[in-house]
Amino acid sequence: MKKVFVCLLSLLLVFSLVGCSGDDGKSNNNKKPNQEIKDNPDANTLAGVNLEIAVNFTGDAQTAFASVCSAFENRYGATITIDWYGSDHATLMTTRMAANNMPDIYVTAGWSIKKYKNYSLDLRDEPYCKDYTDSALGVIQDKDGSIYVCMISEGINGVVYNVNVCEAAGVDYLSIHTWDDLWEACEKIKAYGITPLASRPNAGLTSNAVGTWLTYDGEIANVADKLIDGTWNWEEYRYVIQAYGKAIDNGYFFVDARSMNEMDTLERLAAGRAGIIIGDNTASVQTMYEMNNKGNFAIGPFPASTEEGVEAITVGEGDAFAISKNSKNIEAAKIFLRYLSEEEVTKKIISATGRKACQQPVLENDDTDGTKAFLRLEEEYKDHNMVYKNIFDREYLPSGMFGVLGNVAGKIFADHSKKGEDEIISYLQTEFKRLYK
Amino acid sequence: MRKKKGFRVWILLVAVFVCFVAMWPLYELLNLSVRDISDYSSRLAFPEVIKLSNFKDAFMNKQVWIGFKNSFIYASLTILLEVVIGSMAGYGLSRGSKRTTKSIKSVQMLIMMVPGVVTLVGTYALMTKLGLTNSLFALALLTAAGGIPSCSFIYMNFINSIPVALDEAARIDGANVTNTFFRIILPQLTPITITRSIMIAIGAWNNYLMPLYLINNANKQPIILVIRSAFAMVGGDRNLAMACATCTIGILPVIVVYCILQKRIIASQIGSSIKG
Repeated sequence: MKKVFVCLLSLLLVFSLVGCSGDDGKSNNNKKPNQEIKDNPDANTLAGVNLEIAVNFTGDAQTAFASVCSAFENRYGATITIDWYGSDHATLMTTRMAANNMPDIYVTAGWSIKKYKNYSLDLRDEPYCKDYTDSALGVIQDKDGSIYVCMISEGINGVVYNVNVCEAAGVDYLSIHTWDDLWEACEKIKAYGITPLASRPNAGLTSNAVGTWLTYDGEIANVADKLIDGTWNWEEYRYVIQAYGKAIDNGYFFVDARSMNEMDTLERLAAGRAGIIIGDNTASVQTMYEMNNKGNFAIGPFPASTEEGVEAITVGEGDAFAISKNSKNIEAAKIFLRYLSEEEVTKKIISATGRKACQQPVLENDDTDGTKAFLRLEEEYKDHNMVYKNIFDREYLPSGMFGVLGNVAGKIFADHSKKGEDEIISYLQTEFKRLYK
Repeated sequence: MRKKKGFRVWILLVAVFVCFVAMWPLYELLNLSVRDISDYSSRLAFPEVIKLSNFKDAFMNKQVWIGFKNSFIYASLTILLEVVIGSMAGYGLSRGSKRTTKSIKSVQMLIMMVPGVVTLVGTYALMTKLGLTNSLFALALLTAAGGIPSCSFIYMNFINSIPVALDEAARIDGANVTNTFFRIILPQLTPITITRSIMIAIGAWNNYLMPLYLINNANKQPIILVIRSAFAMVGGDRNLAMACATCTIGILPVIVVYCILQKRIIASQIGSSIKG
């Protein structure tokens, strides 16, 4: 046993040395300058600088971003450490915020103002800020004019249709104006033998899609002012609960909707097993084309709640990057963001993420699938009474309510009886008061 | 007699049901891992075409092997640190004065009761400030630090069952404390050491939270993070079949080790519980 113990201790020493040695995560430190560096006047201007960048990209977007970063390293001689946080991005960034250990650059994933502004550098004087479209500025510009991110694309949210399924079921998706029209379309798709909705209980249903019930002129209710001043009692939210409750009772959702994840949703619509997703975006349209290139997918606005109401597309932050105030490499980080906003670089990323460009020069020459889906929307809905609005929770709700409304979606699927409805309203009132403070 | 037989049938039925529930996720995993990427049929349905090339592709993925190597290093280091320090601490606690032991035991219990996730922010801040990110040794150190209280507690209970007379006899023969521990006590700890090592290895192999926070470098990622990456979208398509094949390969070592050492683990656990 003693020999075993001595062996174990020896191994410990060996492994300690192995564990402590080697690459510390900073890529390409010993990379020899290649021809591109020699030929480039910017080469090595950032030699010795290491930028840490935290992103949520996966799949094609991850590949595209890695390639873009590699090109930056070659051009400037800096090294880049990328933290691929994927779907854990928000959680990991929250921990890093609490630990006061922010990376030099990070994706803000829709929260550049409400969540990250105290940690991020004001970039309003950067050259790319003058190129933002109005819809982009509406999302990322703070009340005092500050802009905390370099945003290269916008997220366009609405209702996604499998056009082939809709046509086969006798549904003209362009004729849908109100939520009642949408439920009627669901009934037709159900009669055709297909589950109408591939949506799952998430905040896409209960937050992104609810503006046309609650906050615009001509709709069944307009509580926008009360939401903003924090005095709303959430009673009108019953319209939303009742509408979805009825849809659940009518069998419009999959029976396993509660256990579905995001990709299940897309797979089922792409495969023609469903006709509609409520509360999705142009990036999903692109993903579905990748899953089924023979498909025909379109995005439309959220329907109005009354005949007089408006159909609404909600616009949110797409691929947006902020610089930490405490970064030791602020100048290098600024150079990186300027590089990201170059037309070719931006196009490379948004062709992978499927989002719509948001800087005018790029938008004018963009032919990526995300933008195509948006242009199709603009063309097809030009005669509709349609508006572009900021995403519901970012416009009207305190930080944290998006998650609460995600929980509400689950609660509606679990129990939308009168008792369940009362409990949900009470839960919303309590959480809204707590978070509004 | 009939009553006893009926009872056995019920036990058998319950056992079959429990096995069924436990095996269900594994069935789904295996089922999905041999499918074609375009097979969107129900996860419970048998695959339309069995595609074993998913496993070949997963095996050909260099990152899987890097993950295996890193997980092996991480698990080995954690075992070494935890067993070496835990057994020595357990001996000290077992043979120390009752008053001191009691207070240390209370502190240990307190530490064992605090879930790791509660101290996540502080731990993460400390590790980054000390520059202990992207290091498998640092990760093992952290994991072992969390496991040592329970490890030494278990060793202490086990050592309590070894008569103090053995220590006294060794002392009379001229052995000091170190010699007594290594020559007399340690050989008695083989069963508990094997059990603990396997449990620590499984825990380290499956540990997700801290590697996720502390290991960002792809060349240092353990297999669990490689599996996570596989479940992200690959090449624009979400290759679920390939991800499931990677996951199956990733959990295989744990299952194999458990199957081989199953009898030993159970025997050691029973032995340690009786002695404890």
